[in-house]
Amino acid sequence: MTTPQSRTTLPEGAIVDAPLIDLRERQRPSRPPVVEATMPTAADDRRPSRAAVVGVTFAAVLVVGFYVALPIGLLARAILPQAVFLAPVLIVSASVVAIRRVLRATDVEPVIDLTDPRP
Amino acid sequence: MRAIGDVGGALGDLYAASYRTMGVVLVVGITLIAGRMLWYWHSFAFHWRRYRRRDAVTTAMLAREPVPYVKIQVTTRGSAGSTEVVLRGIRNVARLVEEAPAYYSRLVSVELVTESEAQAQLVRAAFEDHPLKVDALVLLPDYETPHGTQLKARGMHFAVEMRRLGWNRRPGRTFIVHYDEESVMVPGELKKLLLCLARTDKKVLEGPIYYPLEYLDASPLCRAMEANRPIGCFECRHVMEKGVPFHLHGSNLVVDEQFENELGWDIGNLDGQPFIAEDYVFGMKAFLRHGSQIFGWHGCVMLEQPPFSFSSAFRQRYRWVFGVLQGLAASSEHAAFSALPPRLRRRLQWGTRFRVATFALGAVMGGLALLYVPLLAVSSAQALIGGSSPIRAGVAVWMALVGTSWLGSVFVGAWYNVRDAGLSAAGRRVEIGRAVALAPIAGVLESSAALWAVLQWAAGKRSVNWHPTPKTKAADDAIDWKVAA
Repeated sequence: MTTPQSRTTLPEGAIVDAPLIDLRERQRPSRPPVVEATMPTAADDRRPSRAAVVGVTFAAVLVVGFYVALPIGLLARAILPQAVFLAPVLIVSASVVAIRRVLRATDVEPVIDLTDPRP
Repeated sequence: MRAIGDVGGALGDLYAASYRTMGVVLVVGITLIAGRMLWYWHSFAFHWRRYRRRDAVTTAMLAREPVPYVKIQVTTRGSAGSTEVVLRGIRNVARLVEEAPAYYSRLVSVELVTESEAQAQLVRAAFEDHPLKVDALVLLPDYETPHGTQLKARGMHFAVEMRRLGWNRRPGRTFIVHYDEESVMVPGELKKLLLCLARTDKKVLEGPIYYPLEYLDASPLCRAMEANRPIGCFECRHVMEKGVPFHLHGSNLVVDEQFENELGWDIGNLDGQPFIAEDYVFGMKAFLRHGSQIFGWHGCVMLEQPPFSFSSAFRQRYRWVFGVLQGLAASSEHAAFSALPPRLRRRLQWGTRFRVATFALGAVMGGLALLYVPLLAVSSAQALIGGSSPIRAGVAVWMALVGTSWLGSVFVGAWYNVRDAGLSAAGRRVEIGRAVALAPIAGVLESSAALWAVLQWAAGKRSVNWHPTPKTKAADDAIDWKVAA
């Protein structure tokens, strides 16, 4: 599937006049030319910093740990105390794998071809 | 020092004691919300095959089918930032036509309905020499519908009246595909839609929406809030296939032209105030007149973008809920509604109320849960290493299930949204992780808009205003909501 990544710059001074709608706009002496919005491309990727990866991972683990793993751990402690830490890890991992399987099945391919070289 | 310690201990005891009462409230409230969440999961887990059309469609395949004519209608006020995104949506339709100009230019056209003459001229000029026919209809400032309909529905009814008069009339079956300003359907999905429409006998169809456009320009909080939406589309699929319109979104909405011309968008007003959720009102009107068999699910993906700022997102969510409350009140007074079988009537009313109530309840329950996080975290951690558990085993199972379905739905939504956002695998993982990490805060903030709408409605407030969510970062930064309102 191919999809365009187009960027059409319209002529200088081609502006949208919508004075009845946005009063702030009306007060401006001039507005920039309209530039067509673009489709996402692989070039949009902003590689996450190591700090962002660590921080986000830590925060996500904390949230999943509290809302999902902790109740499972408490349950495991009542039923099988030896599995108090293993059970949450196994169940959370199995849930993620199961959800990902359905997601991959519904999304056989991305909607957009991010590698499309067209400008 | 000892006195301070005593006060601290007393406060701690009070906090723990209040949890004994609030814990029950939390479990009951969360159970109500989970009921709705599990419904989404039912559709996700057992009916995912019907959610999205997965087989690619080629022009050769379409050539063998009786493909109807498709008019893509973009309805906009023409406010700042809208032209940029409208052009992107049309450009993608143009790409489809470029694949086989002689074939697709006979099947597809674009109709822009705008309040801005300058925008109409600009869009017409941009596609003047293109085989795709792009027409623009400028809403006359003094135009009034017979029932005094205002806001977006006014523009939509203007288009209906023009079509009734013969504007862009086409022979044979024709469908209107409704776009929001920023909506995009890529050529591959448009071809799937054409094939679906060639084979369907339904009059009103919808499909899923993902939110990957301008993704990284939206605030992290807005991205996390948007991750709640795609799983909701699994419920849309169910609603559309069952034909009971608890919910109808205004974009990726495909309507048979003849049917739309007959029904129109002249939805009138409620207590002198315009309807803010014209899509919901239209769906109810269609259902009351023609029943459930007209509704269907086309399963072709539309792409849109998240709001850029929390202010925009809050107002958007407020409008949804307030609009549904308006629509429900109006429908309940309709004679055709009273004529429905009592069971169906109750299902429609209480089904919609349940949806709204659980959305609003999220703010209360999420806020309370955040308050008790420190207490629960400490007591649970102590229990894991040998203390007594703060919750019973049954409650623990239920909480784990609810937590999994809630954070899982955020995971699913973020997955769909980042899939097409132009990110590397590492970038996608970080974005999904960020959405999950922010879910407790984003969920409370998002549902606070719903709660505010319910409270305003309950207090008797009926006035509304409509300013479309700004569609570029610059427009969002520039907007002064006090002036816009």
